[in-house]
Parts: sequence; C-alpha cells; structure tokens
Amino acid sequence: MNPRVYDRIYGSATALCSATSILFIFVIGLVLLTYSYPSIVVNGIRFFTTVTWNPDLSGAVTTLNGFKTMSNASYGILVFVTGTLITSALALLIGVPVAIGIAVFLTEVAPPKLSAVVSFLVELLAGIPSVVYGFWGFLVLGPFLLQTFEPFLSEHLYFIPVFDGPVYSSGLLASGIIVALMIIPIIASISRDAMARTPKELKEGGRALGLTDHEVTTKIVFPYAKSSIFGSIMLGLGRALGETMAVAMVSNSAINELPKTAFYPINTMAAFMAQSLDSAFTDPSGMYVHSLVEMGLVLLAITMIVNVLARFLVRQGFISGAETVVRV
Amino acid sequence: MEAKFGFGRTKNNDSQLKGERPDNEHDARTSGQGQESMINISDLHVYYGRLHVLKGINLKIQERTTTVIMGPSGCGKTTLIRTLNRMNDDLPNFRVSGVITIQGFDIYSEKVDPTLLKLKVGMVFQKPNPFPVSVFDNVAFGPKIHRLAKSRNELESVVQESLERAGLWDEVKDRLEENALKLSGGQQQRLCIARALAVKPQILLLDEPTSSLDPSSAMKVEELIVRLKKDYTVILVTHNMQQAARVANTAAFLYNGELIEVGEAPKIFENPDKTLTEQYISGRLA
Amino acid sequence: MDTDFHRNASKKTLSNTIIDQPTKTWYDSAVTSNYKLRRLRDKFVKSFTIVCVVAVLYPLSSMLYMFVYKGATLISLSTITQPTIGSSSFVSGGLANAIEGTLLLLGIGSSVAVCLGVMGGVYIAEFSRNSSLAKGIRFGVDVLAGVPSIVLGYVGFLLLVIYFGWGYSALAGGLTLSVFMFPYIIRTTELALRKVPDEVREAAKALGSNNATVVNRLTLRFALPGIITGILLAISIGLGETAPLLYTASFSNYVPSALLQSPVGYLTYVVYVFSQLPSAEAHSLAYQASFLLIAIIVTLNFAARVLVQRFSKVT
Repeated sequence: MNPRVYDRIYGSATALCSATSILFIFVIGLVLLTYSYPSIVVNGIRFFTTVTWNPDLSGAVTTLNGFKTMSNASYGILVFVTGTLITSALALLIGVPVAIGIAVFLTEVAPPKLSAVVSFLVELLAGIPSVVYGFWGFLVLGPFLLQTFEPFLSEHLYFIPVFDGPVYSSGLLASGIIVALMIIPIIASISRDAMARTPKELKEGGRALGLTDHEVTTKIVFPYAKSSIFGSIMLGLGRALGETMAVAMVSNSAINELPKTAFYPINTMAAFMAQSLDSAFTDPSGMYVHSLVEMGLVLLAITMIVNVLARFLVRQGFISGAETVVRV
Repeated sequence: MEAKFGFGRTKNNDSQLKGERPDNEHDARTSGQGQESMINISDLHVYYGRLHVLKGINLKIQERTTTVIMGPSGCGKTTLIRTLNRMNDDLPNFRVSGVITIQGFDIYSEKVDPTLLKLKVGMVFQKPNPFPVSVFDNVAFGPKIHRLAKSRNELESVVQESLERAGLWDEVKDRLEENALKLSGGQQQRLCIARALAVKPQILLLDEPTSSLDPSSAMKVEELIVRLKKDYTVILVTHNMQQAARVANTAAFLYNGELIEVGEAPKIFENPDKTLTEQYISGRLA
Repeated sequence: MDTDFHRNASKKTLSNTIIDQPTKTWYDSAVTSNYKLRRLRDKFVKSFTIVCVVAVLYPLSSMLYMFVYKGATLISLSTITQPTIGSSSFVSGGLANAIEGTLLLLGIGSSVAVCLGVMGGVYIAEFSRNSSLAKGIRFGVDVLAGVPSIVLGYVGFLLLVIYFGWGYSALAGGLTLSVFMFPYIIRTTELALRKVPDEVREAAKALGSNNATVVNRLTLRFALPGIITGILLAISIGLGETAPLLYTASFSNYVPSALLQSPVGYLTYVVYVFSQLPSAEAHSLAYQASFLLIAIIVTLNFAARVLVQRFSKVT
C-alpha cells in the first residue's frame, strides 16, 4: 500500500479513537439529561431543598406538567447531598494530614529501604477494591465504632456539640474513615513524588543555615511541592465524592433525616443510587428512576468541577509518569 | 565596618586583633601550624561505608585567615570542609574518627547539636542556591528561624548589614522584594554569601564559590572574599590556582584523601616542598 | 546536652564594666533562645509521621489478615469449579460462574479500552501533540476519568440495557467497563510515548521513513513497557469495580449463554451482596471472592512493577 495512504488511514483511525473521549462525554451528558428531564420539570427547585425522599410507591399515578408521577411523591436530595459532603469533608479532614504525614515519612524520615517497603504497602492499599473496603468496614470498623469508639466519644467528649448525643449508628464516622483510607494512597504518593523532586541544593542551603529536619521539610520542601500537594488533595476529593460501594456498605443508609450528631447514619448520592435503582423499578410512574438519574446529574456536576480543577493543578506541578493515573 | 561579635572572646583574641604584630608572629600565624589556632583538625579520618575518603588529616587554621584547600577532583576537599560544619552527618554511612576542635571545643562531641554549629560555621556552595523567595526573605531566613532579631527593625538592619558586607546592598536596595531568582548568577552568589553572613558566623566555608560564575562576577566575589578576610575565618576550596594565590594566606594541598602539604600561600605556590604539590601547581596533575 | 559549660566568674572593675567576660565555650554562645522549642517540634513532627504510617498500616494488615489469610483457608477446588447455587440467604457452592463472568466482562472491557486507548494515545502523543484538538481530547479524557462509576453504570443501563434493548448482558457490562478503563489507558499510553526521546524519532526520519512507520516500529517498541504497565494497572482497577456493572451485568449463577440478554455474575458483586447476607455460606463465598480479587490485583500490580524495572533500562 502506498505509504502516504497508509499514513492517512492510520492517522485518521487513531484520531477517531482519541475522539471517542469527547464522544463518550457527550453521550453521557445526553443520556443523563434526557432521562432526568422529567424529574427536573416535575421536581424543580424543591429537589434541592427538600429533606424528604418519598417516592410514594403505594400511591396513585398522576400527571404533573406532562409527566407521570405518584400523587404524594416528593423527591428531595438534601439528605444525600449532605451525606456526600460530610463524608468527603471528614475523609479530607482525616486523610490529608495522615497522607502528608506519610509522605514526609517516606521522603524525610525513613531510610531508603524502609521507605520503599512502606511505599509499596501504601500502594497496596490503593489497589484494594472498594467492596473489600466495605466488607472490612462492615465486619471490623463498624462494630468497633458502634460498640467502643462512639460510646467513648459520647461519654467523654460530650461537650463538643457534634459528639453530644446518643449513639444511633456508626454510619457517618465509618463512611468518613473508610473514604479517608481510600484517598490516603493517592495524596500520599503524589505528594511523596513531588517532595522527592525538591532540588537537593535548596535543602542543603537550608541545612547550612542550621535548619532542623522538620524545618527543611516545612519551609523548603512544602513550598516547593505545594501545588502538586494541593492538586493531589483535590484529586482525592474527587475520588471521595464519587465513592460508592464502600460507603453503601457501611453508611447504614439514612433516609429523610439530616444527621444531628456524629453518631447518625448517613447516605451519599452515589451509595443511594447504587442501592435503590432496583426499588425504583417498582415505581409505576417511573418518576423514581428519573429522579435518581437527576441525582446522578447533580453528582456528576459536582465531581466534574472538582476533578477538572484538580487535574489542572496537577499538570501545573509537572507530574509525569503513572503517578497521575490514579483512581478517581 | 568593624565586626560585631561579643561572644566567646577571651583576652587572648583581643590582643591578636589590633595593633601591629611582629613579623615572625605573623608568619607563624599564617603558616598556621604553630600557635594556638581557631580550628584544629587532628588525625581526621572520614569513611563513607567502606570508602576511606580522608586519611589522617592534621590541619590548624588560624583565626581571621584565609586558607585555601586545593587538589584534583575527588581528593576529598569538599568532604574536608563539610566536616567543619557537620554537613556530612546527613550522608549515609558517614563515619568519622579523629578530633576537630573549634576554639578548643570538640565539635563532634555529644553535647553538640549540628544545627547550632552551623550558626558559627557558615557555608556557601558552588552553584548559587537562593531560595525561591524575595531577596529580603532570603537573607532574613536564618535570623528568622533562629529568632536572632527581636523586632522587625532589627531584622531589617541585619539584612541590610549582611547585604552591605556582601557588597550587594547598592545593587538590590530598591529590589528587596523581588524574587531572588531574577538576579544574575554573580548577584545570586553574593546573595548566598549575605544569607550566610546574616546569622553572624565566625567561620565561612566556601566550596568553589566562583566556579559557576562568569569572569567578571567571579572577580567581584573574589574581591568580596578578600574584604571578608578581616572579619571572618575563611576556608576556601577552589580549582582556580590564580584565585587561590590572590586570596589565600595559607594553602593546603590535598591529594587522594591525604594532606600532602600545607603552609604559607606564597611559599606553597612558588616553592613547595613536596614534588606532588609542585606537580599539581604546575598543572601536571589532573 | 547543653548544660555543661565552663564559666569563669566575671570580674568587675570599679566602673562596673566587665573586663573579663565570662568565658563560656565557643559553642555555648551559639545556643539560641528558641533552640529547645525547635528540637521539640522536630521530635513531634517525626513522631507524628510515624503515627500516621502505623495508623494506615493497621487497617491494611487487618484487611490482609481477614481476606488473604482467612480467605485462603476457605478456598478450595470447588470454589473454582462449582458455580453458585441458590440465591439470597441460601447461596452455596463455589464461584465458578463469578470467576468466568469476571473474566468475560474484563475481557470485553479491556479489548475495547485497549484498542481505543492505545490508538488514541498514539494520536495525541505522536500525530498531533499540541493541536487544539489534542488539547480538547486531553480535557475530555480528564473529564471522563472523573465521572463517578455509578453514574457510568446508570448511563450504561439507560443506554445499552434499556434504550438499545440489550438487557442485562455481558456486552452491556463489558462496554460500560471499557468506558471506565479507557481514560487510564489513553493517558498512560500518551505518557509512555512522550517519554521516548525525540532523538529516536529524528533518527527514524533521517533513515527515510514517514510518520506512521516511525511510530509503529520504533517508538511503540520503546514505549511498550510503559503501555503494558498502564494496561495492567487499568485491568486491576477494572477488576475491583462494581458500580458500572450492577445494573448492566446484574448477576447470575450461570455463565451467560450469549453476549446479549443474559446477565453475568462477577466477583465484586459476590463481595457486595453476599457479605451482607446472614448465612455463613454466603459469608464464606464473600471471603473467597475477596481473596481472589486481592490476589489477582496484587499479582497484576507486581507484574506491572517488574515490567517497569526490567525495561526502564532500555530507555
């Protein structure tokens, strides 16, 4: 075959393949918008402001604004949005300091061999499937929180408002802790790599002025690596927002009530979507499914903003190699 | 500008500072090996793991002299000066034996914290390594960490004084808030010197400070070193023999981890005792 | 450490000036006011980092103990040979159907993702690196990588299972999975190709070859280890996914008879559902499935690492 023609075909074929990325996004957006449209029209703003999620499955089918729904159905995602935000916030609160602590350990504190072993173990943590985390949470973390840790907090730290109340469930804390565990490897490994790239001369210059180890780390290494570190945190946040299975298994599925203390069950958008599509099929009006899809749209929007921001920062930090390819 | 010290001065030092010295005392001081010295290195061996890098170094350095350490690449010059401010401690498998005292105080003793030692023994590196912050913040870095200045005013005057001593003040006084990386190579190196001076060390270690600079910047730094001699004890590592001859009081020649010869600079350069030294001086060694 | 210093009593003259300064040792004058505080902070920071590491290794070892050790004890030949029998609390048997289902779904998913991903990566790395199209594609990949897995599952369900009418099927599950894996593969391929130094391409051009041949022969060969590593990692990620498959492949105790209209079982579903069932049998299967998943994922990661080390010497 004429090499020129071969070139053309090859070039076009690869171009098409790469363009599927844009195609997929387009399709995803289209499908979600189409199937959530009925819910958008029927539920309107109340979707975002109502706490109750009531599909009224046993009610009567009526029509509203041209779409079928149940007569007493009321779809509000406030509980789920709150759950998502609380879980992610808690995951960051716990995960970021621990992850950066690990990164400092790996680059500044540990001798090279120990550092390599611990690095490997931390990356092992990253490879464990979400459902296995959930299983562990269900067997180990949940009971521990419910029977030991939360009663302890409630007994002794009741003066802190968020711990002031009876222990209803381990859902909130368990979700936050498990998601923290899942994002720690991401933040730790990107931060570690960024910190390791700090030029030796800068650190030596600091040493020569009499800086202690932690001062070299905080005043020289951190400022150098800070955009990558921050980017990794945002990547972690993106992952936390979309985390589904582990949360589904430990959150104890709250419904229709916002958590008042740390000892409540919660529910996140992602987990709820995973758990309830089955039940949604029993809705004769189909509005349950449409509302779930709209929930997915909201989740996608939130996650997308965070992720695009994060990857922009990570690229600015000149990260190369497979470290950028992290689970989100 | 007279140096301000006020620490650890005994009567002995006072008498050495001012007034005239009889010639033989001067010679003895700069040949370095007779009088009570500022720095006394005795039977120093340094190992990195199995590698025997410095072999039995004996060297005395007098206060407020400039000693140049010369030798071919890999002979241990950098290792040697780094033993004086304990920068080698950070390297893996570093072992040291022998005694190094500064003003009679063993700097490898248990009581010494290396971070404090570095307040007394400053270092400037081959490649200028200013921090990626403003000029002011670079110089103020040391004093801030160690809380050497008790007020903002004091800090500003320390910074100005250090920059003046480094001969950089006039060039940067209107640009103190600018990022240090915008300065030229020569200016950056003088900035690094100012930064080192800001913590008021008594000894300055300069590891090939001009080798990455262009000739005119190198000249400025050299002139600076000559001025610094009055107030600080300077130990200079250099490949550049003309520079060494211009600047040094004492010269020490290191070869393969051993101190081959040390003595008054003019003598070493014009009429060395050892053949190896002579070969190096005349450029016949690597 | 700094408590031992020699101090001569200071003598004062009539005018009250100190003529003979207290001679501390030379070093003592270096002790600064905040020195002790800094040392304390240093110790504190170092201890904190160690606590962090321990805090993270504890759950890891707990998980490894439970799922690798206990899971290994529960596994037997029948796990691999017997399919799951019964449903909900009455499940028993083995995991043959789930294992085969996982392989099938991953097979479909990887094939599609690898084709699209590698070819796509070649395009944005070799043909059109800095064009606005390439930038748009990279942005698209970034966005795609950020889509939550359950949202992807929903789209797969709505589009493939419902709209296209494929029903719960291996094809629906596999394709949804491929969309999930695609961003990883295209990214790692692009990175691997970009790491190949331009001199290689220059050399090939100088020998008279045109664009496509250069890419094909030389650069791909250099980048291959990186590309394969990326593929292995994407597979290990795909292995652990559940949400994209929940409503596209559903679950089945049987190996599907066709690629359409026939639900597929897979290992992560076993862990998800069986772990929450009240019977010991179900739990046992969940443990075994966890073991298999972890074992395969660790092996894949290990293989990827070995590849990187072995072949990084080539470039």
